[in-house]
Amino acid sequence: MNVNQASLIINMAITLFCGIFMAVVPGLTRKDYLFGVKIPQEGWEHPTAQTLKRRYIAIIAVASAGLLIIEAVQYLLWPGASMLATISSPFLLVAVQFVAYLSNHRRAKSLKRSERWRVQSVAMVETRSSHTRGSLASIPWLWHMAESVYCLALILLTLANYSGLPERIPIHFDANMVADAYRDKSIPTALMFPLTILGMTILLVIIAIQTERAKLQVSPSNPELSFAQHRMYRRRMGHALGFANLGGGVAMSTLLLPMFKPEWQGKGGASMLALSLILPYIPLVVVTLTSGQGGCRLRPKITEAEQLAGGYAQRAKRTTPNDKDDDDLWFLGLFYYNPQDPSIIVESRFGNDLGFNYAHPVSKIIVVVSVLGVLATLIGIGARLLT
Amino acid sequence: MILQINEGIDEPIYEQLRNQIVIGIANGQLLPNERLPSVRSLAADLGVNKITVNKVYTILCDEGYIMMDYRKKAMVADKMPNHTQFLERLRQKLLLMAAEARCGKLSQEDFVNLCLDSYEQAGTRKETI
Repeated sequence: MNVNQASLIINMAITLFCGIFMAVVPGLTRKDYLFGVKIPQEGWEHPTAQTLKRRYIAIIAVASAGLLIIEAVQYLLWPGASMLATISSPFLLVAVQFVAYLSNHRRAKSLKRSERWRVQSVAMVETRSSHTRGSLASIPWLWHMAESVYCLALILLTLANYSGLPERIPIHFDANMVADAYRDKSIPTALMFPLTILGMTILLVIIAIQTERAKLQVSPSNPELSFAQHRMYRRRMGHALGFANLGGGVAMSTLLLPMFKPEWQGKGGASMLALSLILPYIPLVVVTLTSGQGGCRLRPKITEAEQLAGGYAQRAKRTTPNDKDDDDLWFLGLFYYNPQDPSIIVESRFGNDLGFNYAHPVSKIIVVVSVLGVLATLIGIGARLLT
Repeated sequence: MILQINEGIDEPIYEQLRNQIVIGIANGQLLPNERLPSVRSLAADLGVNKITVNKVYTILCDEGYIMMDYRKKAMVADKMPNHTQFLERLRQKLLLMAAEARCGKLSQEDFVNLCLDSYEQAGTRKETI
């Protein structure tokens, strides 16, 4: 198999993966939201709502199929241009998804208006879970602690063996895990990989904390079940993130082996690289696909405490729905902007992921820093191309 | 216990929360010495301003239903301090209700029975206020 054939297979795999991941989004999203618009329970099975979901899936399917054909044509006519296809195809799919989402969002909004659907603007919280989440007690810290210890051990091991390290240290590897770039020995070079692993560890701990702190969306129609689903989902997600942290760190540390023992270079080759890039993150994908947003596809057993806690929530069913709901706080159903809300991270309204409360100063800083980062990169690339 | 706020009704949010916590303590959903969520996490979970939650906790603390330690961590009080003040506050509220009962031409007996019923109801978890 030559490089061009391999690129074609990789491109098609990326397109298929992205297409499937985008097509399942409406199925993973909580039923209370139809393309970013909050709808009442009676709207869940509405024929137009179902048509909108089918329409979205059809658009994604057609776009993915079209892209696969384009990639095949590109391979036949311009086999050398596969890198361009690798970079551009996910962007093209995201653009199609955005357009499909926006048009469905508009339709969902007018459906809500024409059906005169009114949703309770009720927010709920379970005091015990709010307390434990606030104190971060339910994060499975053992994973993260093990990874931190492992990481520190790597750094100490590298420093302890510094004098025994080769004069030229591998800093980059090709697809077969054979080093293709070296740098003269120095302490920063020797610590490059261990410190990168430490950085990734810290990042994953931050993600774990923010996932735990993210605001719970509770379905007013069945709050007891909603809280139980959140409990189960967060436990699974916590372990999946912990596994990703430890597994990812261990997998990445295999890159250190050639530094200590040059004869181990290339052992296992490309399959080793693929395994270490995929294996640690399989639980995350499985949990994401099987749980649904905030665990809305899970069927957990409701504990006695949750049952008792929910006694009150019966009130919600009797309070009259009103026109004032929080749709206005969600620009296009995608961007949450609520200056009153101290949450930084909230559940998205479309898809099983988290998003920012853009009104929070911390979110603003993150957005500005990322935009500047992207701009700096683009300017850097542009400047390099020009010279 | 599950606290909920409804922005669509006239009752201010801080009052909704204050009343629900009092009801929760009365019927045992919140136990003495039970920790309440921090101001930040309760405000974040409900999507309301931290000032609102702070106000709720301050009111409840002044009334003696909850205690706050030096780090502003709230927990349910195990006993009501300052009995005279508490009785006085209760009397004021009851006076208003008695006035309303009189306006509504309710007999003394009916009013007392209503009080007895409500007292029972506030102690059971499956109540329906």
